[in-house]
Amino acid sequence: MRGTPVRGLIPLVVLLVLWEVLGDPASPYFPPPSTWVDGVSPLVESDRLLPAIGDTSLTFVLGLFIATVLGSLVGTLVGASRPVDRALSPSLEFLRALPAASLVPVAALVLGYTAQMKLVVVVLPAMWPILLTCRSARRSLSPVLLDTPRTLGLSGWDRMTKVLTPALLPAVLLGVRVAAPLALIITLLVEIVTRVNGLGAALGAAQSSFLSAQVYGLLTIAGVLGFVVNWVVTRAETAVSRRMRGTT
Amino acid sequence: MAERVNVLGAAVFVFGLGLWELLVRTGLLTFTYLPPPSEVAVGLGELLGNGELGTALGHTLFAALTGWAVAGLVGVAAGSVLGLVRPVWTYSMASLEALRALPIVAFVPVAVLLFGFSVQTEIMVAFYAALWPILLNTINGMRTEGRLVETGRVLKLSRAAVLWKIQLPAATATIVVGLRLGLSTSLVLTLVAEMVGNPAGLGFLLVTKGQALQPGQMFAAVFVIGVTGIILNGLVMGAARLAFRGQLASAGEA
Repeated sequence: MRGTPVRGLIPLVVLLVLWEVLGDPASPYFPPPSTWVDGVSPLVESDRLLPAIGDTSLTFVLGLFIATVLGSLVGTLVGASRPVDRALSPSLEFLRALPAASLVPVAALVLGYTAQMKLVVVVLPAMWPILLTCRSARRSLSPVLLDTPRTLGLSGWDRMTKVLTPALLPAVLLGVRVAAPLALIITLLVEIVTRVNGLGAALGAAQSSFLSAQVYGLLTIAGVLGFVVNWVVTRAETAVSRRMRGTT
Repeated sequence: MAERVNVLGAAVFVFGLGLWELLVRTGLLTFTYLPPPSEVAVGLGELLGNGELGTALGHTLFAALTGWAVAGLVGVAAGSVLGLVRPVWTYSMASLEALRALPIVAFVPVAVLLFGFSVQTEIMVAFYAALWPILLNTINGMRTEGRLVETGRVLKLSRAAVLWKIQLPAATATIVVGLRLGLSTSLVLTLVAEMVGNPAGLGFLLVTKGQALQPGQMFAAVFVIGVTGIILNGLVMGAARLAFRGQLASAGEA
């Protein structure tokens, strides 16, 4: 939410300070914040932290990209024609109902513990928000907008690049804004469950060896990653939709 | 609105299943552990027959629904305070925003660390997962429509009456959306907690069937999870429609 007062951070800061002052550095459950840095430093020294962050980011970016392409293509297709919509929607609804978590073991069994498996699991759930916003945007396009270029004799390619794409772009971006945090969550989820590379795998490993300070440290890093993703996507979406509003 | 039976859609669904069966049987799709739908049906029969499915489903539902219900109480109560009392909002919203940026799944290892391999881990994770959408939607719902509140004040309603007769009904549709979102996320996160933490329930069933190389039974479990999600969502929608018919209709949700 924009315009949240910074003063609101006070309770969180107070909590962390109290935790730091009152916490027992040897606590296996609630190690105070200062120990988190020490907890993560072995990963930095052995050069595992940055590759893990890189792995997670790569899967996230690629997954979101593929989801955007697939989602907007299928969404446009389904939104353009009622019969196609009716034909595909039960199958799509059923696929959508499958929780991402349940796909993980299936994908791991069928595709093995690989980077491709991670991508497949990320793409499927991240696709839905984009598909749905794109579908409703395509559906509510004014027929005039579609007929005018046809009357003007524009080619199919020109119609797509000059009319359809600009008209649907804000919807796609809105979908991406919803899908991005989801894609990051699913990326971490796959990594935690399958232990295939990345930040999630490091988290899972730290938890099973009871390195609680490292768990909290990695959690914080995951949080920063989540914050950055949110910030970038929200910024991009507002910037583009502001420009778009100027043109229509 | 009662929808006509979507014959075309059902046909496409069945056709898709048939195509899948055909591709696997003829060897055109060559994944070692991709079962054809018929094998999934057999797997479903086996799981139902030996009672594994019922036990697992019961366990998962118990954990997810308990966490969700507590999150509903806490989320609506805390969300109302945050939405209605301006100073509380000013002095805590940014903290909540910061905490929300932490990806929920990343909390699963923390929960396992704190509560061990127990059903508490699952319930805590389900609670935490459901809390966010419910809390944020309640806050948003309570903050909208200053004009309605002013109307109530002009009509000399008491503070409690404004809350009960105006603000709560106005927020209902948004809260119901939060409850629905919360239910699906708590189900997902319960499954994750079962996969990496507590060895019980549908999540654990999935993992063990995968490790035992029984793809038929594993796909059957996925199918059951999907259907469960649909049914739960339907139940919440149905209950909300029954309880708050007017409010949802006015918000275009019904």
